[in-house]
Amino acid sequence: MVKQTADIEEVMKVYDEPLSGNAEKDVARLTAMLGQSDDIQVGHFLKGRIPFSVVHLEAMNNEEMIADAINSPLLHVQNQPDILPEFLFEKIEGTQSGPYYSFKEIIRSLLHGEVIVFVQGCKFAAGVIGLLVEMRNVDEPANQTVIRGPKEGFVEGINVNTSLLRRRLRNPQLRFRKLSAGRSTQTEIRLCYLEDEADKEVLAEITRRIESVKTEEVYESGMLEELIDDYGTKHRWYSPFPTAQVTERPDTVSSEIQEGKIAVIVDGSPMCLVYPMTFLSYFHSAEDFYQRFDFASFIRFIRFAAFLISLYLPSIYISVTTFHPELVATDLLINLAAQREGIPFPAFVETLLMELIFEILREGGVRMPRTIGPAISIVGAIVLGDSAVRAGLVSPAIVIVVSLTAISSFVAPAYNFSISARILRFVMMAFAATTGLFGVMIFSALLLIHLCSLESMGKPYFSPLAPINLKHHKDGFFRFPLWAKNVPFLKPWIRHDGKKENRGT
Amino acid sequence: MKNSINRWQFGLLIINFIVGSSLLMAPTAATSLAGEGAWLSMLLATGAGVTLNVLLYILLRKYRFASVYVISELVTGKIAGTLLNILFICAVLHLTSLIMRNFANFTNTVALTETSSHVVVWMPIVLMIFSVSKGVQNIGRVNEVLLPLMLTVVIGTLLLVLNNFETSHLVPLFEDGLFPLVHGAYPILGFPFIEMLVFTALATFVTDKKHLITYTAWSIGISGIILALAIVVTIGVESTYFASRETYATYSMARNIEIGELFQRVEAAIGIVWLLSLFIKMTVCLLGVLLGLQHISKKDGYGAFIFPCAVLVWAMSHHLHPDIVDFSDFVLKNWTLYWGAIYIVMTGVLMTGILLGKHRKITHEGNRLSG
Amino acid sequence: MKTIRLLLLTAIFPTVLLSGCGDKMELDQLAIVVAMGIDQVEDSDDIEVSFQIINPHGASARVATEGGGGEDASVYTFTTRGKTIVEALDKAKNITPRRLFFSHIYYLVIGESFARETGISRLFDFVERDEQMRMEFLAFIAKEETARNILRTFTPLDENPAKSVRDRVLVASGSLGIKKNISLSDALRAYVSDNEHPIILGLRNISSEDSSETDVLHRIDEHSFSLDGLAVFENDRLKDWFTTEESQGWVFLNGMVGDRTVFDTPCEGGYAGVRLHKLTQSTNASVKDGRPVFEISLDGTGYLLETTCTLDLTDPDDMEALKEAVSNELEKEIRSTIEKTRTLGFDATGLSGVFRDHHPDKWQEWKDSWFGHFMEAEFIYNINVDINLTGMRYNAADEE
Repeated sequence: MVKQTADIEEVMKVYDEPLSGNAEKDVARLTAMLGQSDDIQVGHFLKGRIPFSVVHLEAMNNEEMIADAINSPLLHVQNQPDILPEFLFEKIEGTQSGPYYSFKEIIRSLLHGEVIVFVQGCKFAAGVIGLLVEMRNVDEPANQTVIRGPKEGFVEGINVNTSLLRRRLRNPQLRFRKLSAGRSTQTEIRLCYLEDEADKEVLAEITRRIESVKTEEVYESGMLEELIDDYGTKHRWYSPFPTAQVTERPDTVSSEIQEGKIAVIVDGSPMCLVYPMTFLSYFHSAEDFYQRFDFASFIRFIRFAAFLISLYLPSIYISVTTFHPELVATDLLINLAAQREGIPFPAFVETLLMELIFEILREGGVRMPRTIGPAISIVGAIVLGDSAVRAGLVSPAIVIVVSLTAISSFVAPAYNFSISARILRFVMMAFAATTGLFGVMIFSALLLIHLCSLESMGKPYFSPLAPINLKHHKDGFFRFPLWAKNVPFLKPWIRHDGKKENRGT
Repeated sequence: MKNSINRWQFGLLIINFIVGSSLLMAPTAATSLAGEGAWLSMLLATGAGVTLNVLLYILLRKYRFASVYVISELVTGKIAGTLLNILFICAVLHLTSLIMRNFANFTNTVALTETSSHVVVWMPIVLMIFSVSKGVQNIGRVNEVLLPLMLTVVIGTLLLVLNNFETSHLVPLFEDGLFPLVHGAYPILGFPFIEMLVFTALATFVTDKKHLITYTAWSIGISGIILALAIVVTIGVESTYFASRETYATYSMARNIEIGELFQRVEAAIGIVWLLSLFIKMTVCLLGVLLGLQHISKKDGYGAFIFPCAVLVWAMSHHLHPDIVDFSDFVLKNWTLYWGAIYIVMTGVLMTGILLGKHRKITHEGNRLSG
Repeated sequence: MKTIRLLLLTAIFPTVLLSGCGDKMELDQLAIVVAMGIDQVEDSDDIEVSFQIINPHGASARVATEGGGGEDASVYTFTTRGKTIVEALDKAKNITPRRLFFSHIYYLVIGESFARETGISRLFDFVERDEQMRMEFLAFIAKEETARNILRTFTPLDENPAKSVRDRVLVASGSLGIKKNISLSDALRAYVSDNEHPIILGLRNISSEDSSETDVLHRIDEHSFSLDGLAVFENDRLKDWFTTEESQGWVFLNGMVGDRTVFDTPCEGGYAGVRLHKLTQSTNASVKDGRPVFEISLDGTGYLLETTCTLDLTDPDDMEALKEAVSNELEKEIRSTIEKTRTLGFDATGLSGVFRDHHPDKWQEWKDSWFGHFMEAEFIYNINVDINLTGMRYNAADEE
C-alpha cells in the first residue's frame, strides 16, 4: 500500500465508490470510469459456478503468469462444490494485495500494474502483484564512470533499483518506505535508510516535505529535488548550489546510506537523490575509495583546485589586466600587452565572448549524435580559437584562459555542481570587470556567507569546514587510509550510541 | 535567525577582531611614539588588554554571561539602564563607522583610486546586511573558515619578507628610556584591545560557556603576539624612519617581498586579508548594535533595524571626518580615553550589581536573548 | 511595495557596480615606464624628467601577429620638464598617447649636475607618496653625464635596456661584489638618519655617438653603459666619487659584500687574480682613551683564477705568501676608503652607524662633532683569506 499525499487523495476521491458484488457489472463500471480506454484487458470467466473476471492493463503483466497463477487455479476450483466466493481468492497462486472495497483503490492498484480479480458475490476485489514491463538493462552509468569499480548503474524501474541496493547492503536494518507524489503521475518514491544510523529528524523532515508536495507531475528526481529543497521559504529563496547529491551508482548510494544519509529513489528515473549533503561531497567520487589513499587524496586536491580555477580564472585575468597590472611580472606583462595591441574589445568583452562561445560549443556537444560529436567539438574548439586569434578578435592569452577554465569545469564528478560554477563564473566576471580584485573579493565573501548559512535538510551545508569538525576531514580533503582508526566510513550526524557527534552549531 | 556560536568560533572571532584592524595601523602609531621599541609597547599593551578583559569576563561570569544590555537594565533600573544601553549602542555604531572609514580609505589609496568612496562603502555594507540577517551563527562560521587562511597569509607574508630583514634596524632599543614604550602602548590599548567590550554583547550566545575566560585570554594573547611579530618585521625591513611615516606600514612592508623574478608584488594578498578582516570586525560590531536595539525595543528579532543601521554607518563614515588627517588624529588622541571611560562605567555597573546581589536574579530564563 | 523595492534594487545595483569602472585601465592604454631619469635645467628652477617606456611589440618574446618584431625598438624615451616631478609627468600626458604606469620601474638615474647642485631630496617625496611606485627600485648617478643621455642608449644582449642595467647589478654584482643592490629607499633612509650619508651607484656611458638608433644593434662594438664606482653624498648633494678601489673598500666596511674577485694582487713577478666566493665581514666599535676604535674583521675563502707570478704553487709557504698578498690587498682597499673619507670632511663610510649601534650613549655625546672623532679613530685590521683550490693546474706555465 502506497501512502498517498493529500492532493493525490483529492484527485482520487472522484472514484470512491463501493463495489456492487456483481463481477460483470463491476468490470463494466471500472472500464466506464477509465473511459473505455483501449488498453484495458478484461478476461471474463462468467460461465462457471462462481463467475470471476480478471482485469489488467496491456503489457504491464506477464500473460503467462496471469494464465498460470490466476486463471487456471480459479477455473479448476469452479468444480469444487462447497467453496465460497471469498475463498476463491486464496486459490490464487500469487502474491495478493487487497482486499479493495472501493473503486478508488482498485484503480490505483490497476494503474500500478496489478491484476485485479473480481469475483461474483464478493464485495471486494483483490489485486495480484506481477509487474513486468520492458526496461533498460542494468548497464554502465552514462555520466558517472569510474576506471576501477562496479559498472552497474540504476535503471528506471524502482524495484530493480531497490534490488540493486539490497544486494549491496545485506543489513537487516535497511529500510524502504514508499511515498508518492504528483497528482497526475502518482510517481512512486522510496526512501531508503539504515534504521540505526539515520538521523530521525532528517527522515521526518524529508517525509514531511514529500508529503506536502503539490504538483501535477513528477517525472524525474530533479523535479522532486526542486520541490522539496530548502528553497521556497521566505529566507532562502534562491541558492546557486544544489543541496542534494544526485548519483546513478548503487555503490555510491550504499556508502552514503551507511554513513547515515537517506536516499530517495524516484520511479522512472535512474538518478537517485541523497540527503543531507555537504559541500565537500561534491568533490568525492566513488573511485576514491577503490584506488589507493594517497592517489585519492591527491586527486581530491586537484578537483578542488580545478573548481577554484573554473570559478576564478577568467575573473582574475580580467581584473589583473584591467585594474592591477602591477601584480604581474614585468616580462609577462609585456607579452600580454603586446598581444592586446590592436584587439578591438576590452578584456571583459573578449572574455565574455569566448566564454559564451564555449558554452554554446559545450551544449552542442552534449546533444550531438555520438558519431560526429567528438570530432565537431575538437574541431570547433581548436579551429574557433585559433581563427579568432588570427582574425584579430581575441588575444591568444584569452584562449588559454578560457580553455583551461572549461577543462577544469569538467573535472568535478558531480554535474549538478559544476553547473553552479558555470553560472557563478559569469557573475564574478561582471564584478571583476567593474571593480577589479576588490569586486572579486566581495563576491567571494558573499558566496562564503551564503554557503555558511545554507542548510541541507536542516543540517549545515558547509560542514566540516564550518563548523569545524576535524574528524570529518578524514574524508574531506584527504582520504585517510581505511585501516586508520575510526574510519572506514564516518558517521557525520549520529553515532552508534545515539550521541550526536557533530556538536558544532 | 540563529544565534548560537561555540567556544572555538568565539575565540577565533576575537583573534580576527584584534589582528585585523590593527595589522596595518598599529605599526605606524606605535613606531611614531616608541621608536624601535614599538614591539615591546605592543606586548605591554597586550598584557594590559588581557588583564582588563579577563577582569571584565570574570565579573560577567557571575552573571552567567548574560548580555550586557540585560545586565545594565537589571542593575540600574529601567530608565538609567536604557540610557546606558543607548550610549553603548551609539559608541559601537561610532566604532563601526570609523572602521568603515578606514576600509574606504585603504581601498581608495591602494587599489581603486578613482572610484567614489560610496561604492567602496556600499559593497561591504551589503555583505554585512546579508550576513547579519542570518544571525550570529553565520559570521561565526564564516570567520571559522576564513581565519586560518588569513593567518596563514599573514604569517607567510611575514616570513617571505625576511630576506630583506636587517637586525641593525631594530637595535638602539632603550635609547630614551622606558617612557616612550608606555607612550606607544597607549593608543594601541584603546584600539583594538578595549574595543573587545563589544563581545560582551555576544558572549551570551556561546553554547558551551565552560572555560570561556581561558579561551578569551588565550585569543587575546595570541593576537598580541602576532601583532608584535608584525611590528618587529616591519621595523626590521623598513626601519623606523619609514614605518613611522607610512600610512599603511605593513602593506608597504609586504611590497618588499621579492623572491626570484616571479614572486614579486604580492602585497595584494595581505591587502585582501586585511579588508576581509575589517569586514568581519564590522559585522561583529553591527551585531552588537542590533542586539542592543532588539533588547531596547523588546522585539523578537532585529530584522527591522538592519537597513537603518546600515544607512547610519554609511552616513557616519562619510561625514564624521572630512579627511584622513583629521581621522587619524582623532583616533590616536581620543580613542583610548573614550573607550576607557566606557570600560570603567561598565565595570562599575557590573561590580555594583554584584555588590547589591542583583546577579542572582539572572537565571536561564532571565537570559532572554539567548537563542 | 515589493515591486517598487525590487525595481529600485535593480536600478541601483548596476549603477553601483558600474561606477567602479573609473579605475579601469586597459592594457593597451598603458605606457609601462621602465626607467626614469632626472636632470637639472640650466639657469632655472625646473627639473627635467625623462622616461623610458616599453614598446610591447618590440620587447615581447613572441609577437602574436605575423610579420612583426625585428626592427621595432623595444623602448622609447621622452623628456619633459617642470618645477615639480608631478608637473613634468603631467606634461607627459600631452606627448604620450597612453597613461604612464610606474609599478614596473626598474631604476632611476640622476644626472650628475642635478645631484651636485640641486640635491636629491627634491625627488624623495614624489617617489614615496605615489602608490604605484615601490621604493625598492635601483638608483644610479650618471657619471659626467646627463640622465637623458643614459636613457637614450641601446644595449646589446637584452632587448630591454632597463632590465639589462638591473641585471648587471643583481646578477653580475658588478665588480664591486655587492650582495644586494643599493636602492632608493636605502639612500632615503641614509638621508633621513642623522648618522649616515647616502651612497649611490654610478653609471657611466661608454657608448659612441649614435647609440640612440636601432641599427646600432647591428654593430658589433661598444654601445652600452657600465657601472662605475660609488657616488658620495653629503646629506643630499653629491660631493665626490669613490674610485674603484675606494668603492670596494666601502663595500667591505658596510658589510654588503657577497663574493668578489681580487684581481690585481701584486706578487713577485706579476699579478694574481683570486676569486673569493665566500666572505664574511664584521666591524666592531669600541672606545679607548676617548677615541673610537674600529676593529674590522674579514674572513674569506676562495680559489685561484689567474697568476703571472713566479711563485711556486706547490710549496705551502708560497701559498701562504699569496694569501698574505691578497689580505694585504684587501686591507689596502679599506685603507684607501678611509683615507679618502678623511679628505672629504664628513663621514661617508657608514662606520658612524656601527658606532651608534654599539655605543648608543657615547654616540649621543659625540654626534655633533663626529667627524672630529673620526679623524682620530684607530683602525685595527683582521683580515684572513684562505685559498683552497688552484683551479686545473698547480704551477703556471712559465714556471720553467
